[in-house]
Amino acid sequence: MVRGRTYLILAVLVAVVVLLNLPAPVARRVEAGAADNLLPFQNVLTVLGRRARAALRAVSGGAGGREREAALRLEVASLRAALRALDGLEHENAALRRLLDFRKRSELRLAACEVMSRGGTDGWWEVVRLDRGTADGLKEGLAVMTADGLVGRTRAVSRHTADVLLITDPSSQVACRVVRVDAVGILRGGGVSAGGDPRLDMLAGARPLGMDYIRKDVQLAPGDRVVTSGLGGVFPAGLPVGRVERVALDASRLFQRAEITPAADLARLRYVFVVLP
Amino acid sequence: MGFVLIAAALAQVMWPPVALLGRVKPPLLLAAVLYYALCRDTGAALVAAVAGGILHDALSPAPLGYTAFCFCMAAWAAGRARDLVMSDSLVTQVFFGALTAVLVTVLLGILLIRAEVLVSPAERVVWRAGGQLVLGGLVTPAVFLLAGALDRLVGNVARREPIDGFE
Repeated sequence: MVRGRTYLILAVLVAVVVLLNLPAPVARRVEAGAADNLLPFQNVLTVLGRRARAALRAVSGGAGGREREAALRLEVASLRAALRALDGLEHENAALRRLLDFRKRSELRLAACEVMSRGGTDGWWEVVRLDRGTADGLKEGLAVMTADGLVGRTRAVSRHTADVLLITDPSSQVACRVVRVDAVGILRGGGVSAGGDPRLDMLAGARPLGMDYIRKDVQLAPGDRVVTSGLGGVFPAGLPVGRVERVALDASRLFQRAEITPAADLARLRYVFVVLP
Repeated sequence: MGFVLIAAALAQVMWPPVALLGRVKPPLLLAAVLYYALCRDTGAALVAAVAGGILHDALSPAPLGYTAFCFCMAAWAAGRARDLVMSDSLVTQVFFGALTAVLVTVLLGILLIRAEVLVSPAERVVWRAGGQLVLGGLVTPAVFLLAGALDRLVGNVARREPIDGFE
């Protein structure tokens, strides 16, 4: 019995060591396989989650007017719920029309995707999972954007899913340019902190993006538009990124550092475009 | 076991991160592993830990195997105490849920930062450990309840029979 347990522990230890030392392509295949196989269940949960949220909103919206008679309250509540549902549909319709319009106007080859989940299993990284993968022409390292601006780049791509590293993640780096003064720099995600920027809304605790290595001799002003420079080779040039919020010298005092507010609403991502090569 | 782990993994993925607690997600997979560590034998616990860890890493940007290692440590630590505690007790579940969630968060954070896979200040690891302490303590009893009910339903463990009116 004791020997059996020892063998088992040894087998598990070996399994963990093998897992930790798997060659990158094999590890990627295992991850992609898991992502693809779990996709149908994840889809079901996504839809159920959205419906539950919509129902909750409808119920909470119908809680007012306690003074009125019960029947009347019920009727008002149901009418409100119906209106709210219509309002939600109208909003979604408008958002989709805007995206469609953007897609028509854009000269880039774009693949429209829906965001399925956020933060992976643990929330260490600022990532979202999309419902498209290599089967739709996606691959690693492609720019992801909304009609408003840059969102991030694709990271791990399976046949039917793609993970996107958002520009708010501290490991994200984007070569950018301030349009008015034609100054380049590297945009990094700010990560999260206990006291974050309330303007970043649902990303409560998110720090603004930081643009480093900007030349000292250029005069930046709040509101200056920032776009991708195309120098890094990952993102095409000219994609809108955000606006300058604050500028200061960095710790070395050799360069300027600017705080950037993202143009895209990263807190409420639902539909995004992947820029195809 | 497979069903419980997959259901826990999917629920954990779909759960939005809790901003105030360091953008952590409730450790449902860890709670499922803990269930097997406290209610079953060492073999089941370690198999659950490895399988749960692979699922966890496959659905996040973490390199494969890191979480499996952390889960194995947590399962081993909890399994050592199996004979000393009552796994049915709410206090046990809350205590082990909170403690192992902190252990896994800190261990995983250190491993990921040292491997330069994660760019994160140390204070965020502490902040997240605090968040996991709260969420781990909250979700573990619920996972124990559901996994236990499922095990009884499919006949993996004997149903509770009342003895002289007491369960």
